[in-house]
Amino acid sequence: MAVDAALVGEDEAERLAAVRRYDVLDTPPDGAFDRVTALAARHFGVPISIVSIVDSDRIWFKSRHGVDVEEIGRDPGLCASAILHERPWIVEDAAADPRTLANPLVAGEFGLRFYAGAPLKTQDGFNLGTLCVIDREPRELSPDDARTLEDLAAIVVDELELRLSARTAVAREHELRDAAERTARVLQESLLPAELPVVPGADLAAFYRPADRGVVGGDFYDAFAVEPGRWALVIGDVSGKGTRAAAVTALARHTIRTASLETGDPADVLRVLNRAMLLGRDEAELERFCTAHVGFLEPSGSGFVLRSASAGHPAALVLRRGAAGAEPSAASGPPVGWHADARFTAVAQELSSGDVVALHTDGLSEARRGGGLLGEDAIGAVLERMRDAGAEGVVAELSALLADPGVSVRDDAAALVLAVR
Amino acid sequence: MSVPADPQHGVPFGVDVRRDGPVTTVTPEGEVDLATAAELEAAVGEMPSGGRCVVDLRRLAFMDSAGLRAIMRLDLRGREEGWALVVVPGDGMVRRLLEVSRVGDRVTVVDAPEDVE
Repeated sequence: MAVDAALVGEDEAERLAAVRRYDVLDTPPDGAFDRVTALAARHFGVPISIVSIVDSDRIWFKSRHGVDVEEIGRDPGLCASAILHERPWIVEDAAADPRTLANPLVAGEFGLRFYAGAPLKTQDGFNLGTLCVIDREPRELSPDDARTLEDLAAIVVDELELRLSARTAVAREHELRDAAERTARVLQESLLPAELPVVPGADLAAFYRPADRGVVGGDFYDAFAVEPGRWALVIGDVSGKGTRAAAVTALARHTIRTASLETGDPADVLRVLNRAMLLGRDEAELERFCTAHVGFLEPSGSGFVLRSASAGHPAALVLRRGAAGAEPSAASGPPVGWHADARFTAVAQELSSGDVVALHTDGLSEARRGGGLLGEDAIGAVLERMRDAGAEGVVAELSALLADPGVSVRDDAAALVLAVR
Repeated sequence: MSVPADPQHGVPFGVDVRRDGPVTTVTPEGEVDLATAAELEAAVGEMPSGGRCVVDLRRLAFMDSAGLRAIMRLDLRGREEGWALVVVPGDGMVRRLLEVSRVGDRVTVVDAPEDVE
């Protein structure tokens, strides 16, 4: 619908952009604005008061006291004229006023006779609409009353500005949060293997769930082929979270990878890792405690042998084919990065068809359900239930366990699962 | 002073500290986790060189790796400042956590505070 050009200001495109920015059109009724129109009607002794917003082809009423319609066309609307002025636009007797006598609201059934509208002027100088008072009788408006109407309009604008700034602040907060989450995700992904290696005769699957998506977690896992026919399976937990923890995680991960190239004994890998973590601890003022489980997997007979060493890490759980109940592996040693006297020993386990091994972090076993911890029993129960579904099935079920609304997870959680086919 | 360790389960965390000459006995109760481990560590306070700090964990309902890190840091601090750390793990999950981490290789672990020489 074309709008009378005389009712459109030169800055109409910018003005409409401002109307959009305040995002007030077609929002629900609101007490703050309704109080102002009720107050204006009472103060001026008129039946009708409106907070209007002038849109491209309509005038929409944010608050309407004494009238039922929600919007009118822009052409007949007196508010469209009012916003072309800097001061209150006043028509004391519309039926006698050449500006308005032909207006359908005046000449028609509505019978408007008195109109006074103060523009709702934003901080950057755009008139979004008006606060107006309307009567079906002619009236006069004193200069004092005109100032009061302007002050009430200013209160409406203050409220609109307040809402805009609150919305802007929330949007900015969301942006910052999104940016932090993106950064954390990228950093996290750089600390986890892009893909798991293919192990003929077995399958591998892993999951990682940070406690807070906006913060890099302290858990990590890794799996890689050290050489043809030998794979490393690693899981660990460095102290703390965030970028400092990420730096320690990177050190741990790369040290384990490098050391694995030089030795077939996972206990040696932990010894090297311990020395690397202790090196320069005082200078860096970085706490570098880390628990880790390092396993080397090799084919053996018709199955595999898994040689494992642990640095204070929760024991890997092994569920044998046909057995009820998973058994924890016996490997143990102190967390790395604590002291130079740390001793690590490896244990070897034969694995055959149908056996399932789960490496995990304490974020998984120490998630809460009801009043208690999930514990290793819950992980073992998942292994038993999903043993025929392969490593992917076990991991999907562990992940689902943490997603259960009855389970609260307070720390990062990770698992790396091996199933021998 | 005490703060709830986990409002969901309402187990309040608190630390009792007793100083008797060169011996300080720190007894936390409730749960030691990321939220409360620093409070446990701070409760040890100033220690005299040649002194002994007994951390009695028998009244804990729960301790996780954050609590273990607090123990490791206290061990490092004690060695630097010249006092001894003694841990009383009690039974159950705290003892298992300390065993997995081989805390006994490095720190004196006893069954009761009276057992310290």
